[in-house]
Amino acid sequence: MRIKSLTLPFCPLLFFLSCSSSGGSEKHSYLHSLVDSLSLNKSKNIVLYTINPNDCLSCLNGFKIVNNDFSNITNARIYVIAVDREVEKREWLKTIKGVNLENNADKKILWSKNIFQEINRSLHKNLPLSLVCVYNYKLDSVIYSKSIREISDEREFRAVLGKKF
Amino acid sequence: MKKLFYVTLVTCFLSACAQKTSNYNFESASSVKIDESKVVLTRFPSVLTEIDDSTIAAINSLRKLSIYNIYSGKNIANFTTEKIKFDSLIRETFQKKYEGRRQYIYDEATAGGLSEGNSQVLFFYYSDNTFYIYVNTLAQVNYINDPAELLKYSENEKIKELKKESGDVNLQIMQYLEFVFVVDKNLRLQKILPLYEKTQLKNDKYSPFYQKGFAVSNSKLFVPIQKDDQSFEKITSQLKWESNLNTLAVFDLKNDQKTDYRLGFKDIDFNDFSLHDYFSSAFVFRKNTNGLSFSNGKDICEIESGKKLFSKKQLRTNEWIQSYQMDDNQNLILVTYTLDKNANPTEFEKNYGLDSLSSIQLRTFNTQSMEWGNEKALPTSINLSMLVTHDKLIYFDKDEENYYLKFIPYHEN
Repeated sequence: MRIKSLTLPFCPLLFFLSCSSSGGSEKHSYLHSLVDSLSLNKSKNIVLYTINPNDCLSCLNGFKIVNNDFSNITNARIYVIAVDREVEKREWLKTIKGVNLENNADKKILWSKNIFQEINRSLHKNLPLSLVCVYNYKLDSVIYSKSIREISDEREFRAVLGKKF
Repeated sequence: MKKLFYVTLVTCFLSACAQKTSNYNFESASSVKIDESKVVLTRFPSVLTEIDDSTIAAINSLRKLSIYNIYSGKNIANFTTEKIKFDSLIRETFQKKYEGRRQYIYDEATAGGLSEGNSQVLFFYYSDNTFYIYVNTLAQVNYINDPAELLKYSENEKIKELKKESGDVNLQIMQYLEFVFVVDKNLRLQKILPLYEKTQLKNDKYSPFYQKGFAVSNSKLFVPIQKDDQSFEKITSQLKWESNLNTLAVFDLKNDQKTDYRLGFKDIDFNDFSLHDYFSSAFVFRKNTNGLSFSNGKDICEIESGKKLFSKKQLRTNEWIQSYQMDDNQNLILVTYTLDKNANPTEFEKNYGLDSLSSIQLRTFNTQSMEWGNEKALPTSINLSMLVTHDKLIYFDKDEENYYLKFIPYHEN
């Protein structure tokens, strides 16, 4: 009987505490945390490439074309390459052509299958496809994402890239 | 009367005994680490093919054909096209063939994709100590005096739209040029066969689909074909089934323009195939004492006679054949997988026709008694590129650091 009377006021208190804690902390996306972990300029839209080096030849050539066409932009860029093993990374770096994979202030190269999968999964693209995305940090939202094989016109990508919110 | 009944009973009993079921014992899997000293694996090897009891060949990273010892994991030899000069090869083959009509421009950087390389090695068939390796490379084609071909591109809806928006468009057409490299058992190149368009196939509105697989027997090449004049709204649209369609084309390797067909849609069942099913199912060729057989992932048929060896009616719902082998007692040993339709597919899953893999199993089936025998469930995490031989299932596996060759031996009771 004693226990019962204690439980009744205790339950609403727990409920109140749980409500206030969820309302207090803002929930960010996986990409938001990823961008936070890299020191990048977040004031402009961020370009994100997810690259599967085993993608089809036309897709990889498509990526090279997009990357070259947009090499002069001042937006920050993240390249996520779906490679985990050190031995594979060394092999790729030995033979890679036509793409500069050196880190600098506005360009970060991430070698990780996990991150590649997390991003593709968060965009509901459950295939190991190479993607071109535009991410807005302020909105915490991917405002453009297309698999490279689906890009037929760069103007759409360029228009989204310059969008301000 | 009593005697007659007794004799009938005995006969029935004996004939029942003669109807063998395929009873196989499956052992546990053996595993060996892959030697990556010469070739670093960047993805699971594909097109696993038995060379002899201890060696297999497979395609690595769409660039190399590698031979491995399955008991030690040693990488015995590799074939690549690194030393092939594709610019001069194309000049000597495709450019000569279409001189005056088309102009071929080869650029190694485009053909290599992101890394070094001048072509893709996508499939091979091994027979009589010879490898027939399918290689393709990208080249720019200018249809300078080939209006019929050019029309195909200028009539494309997207190009029409682009022309309307941007005025004149500088159209650059990139095309895969296809070859079969004939290589001996020691991976020495014997000859290169350019895979030109076949007049009869073109007239009948078919295209060969070499990447899906092919087989070579008695100087004839058997390859799956697609109908060109079928249009589909989406990837999940049903194939337009007509009984007069053909599944395979046969090319005479000694006579470039001699073309024939095998296995009509009336022989092998594509009835409920979607376009996605056609592309994603495993097309398998197998050679045994009765000649070549072919599976479209559901049925298995003898190629020359069209005789059905296995009907899809025997499979479970959404079950597909990945690989098979027929033993001397007419037992089929099959690796099959089942797919689950997603209850709430995303837009992307709908567009790509994606289902989820629910099971993989090794099964045996007796084609005489039409009965299933033993079955062994396999983990769904393993890669679907598998090889069924007369006495073992061979596949690749990996962990965070290494790739492994695994095999499950089996034998008939």
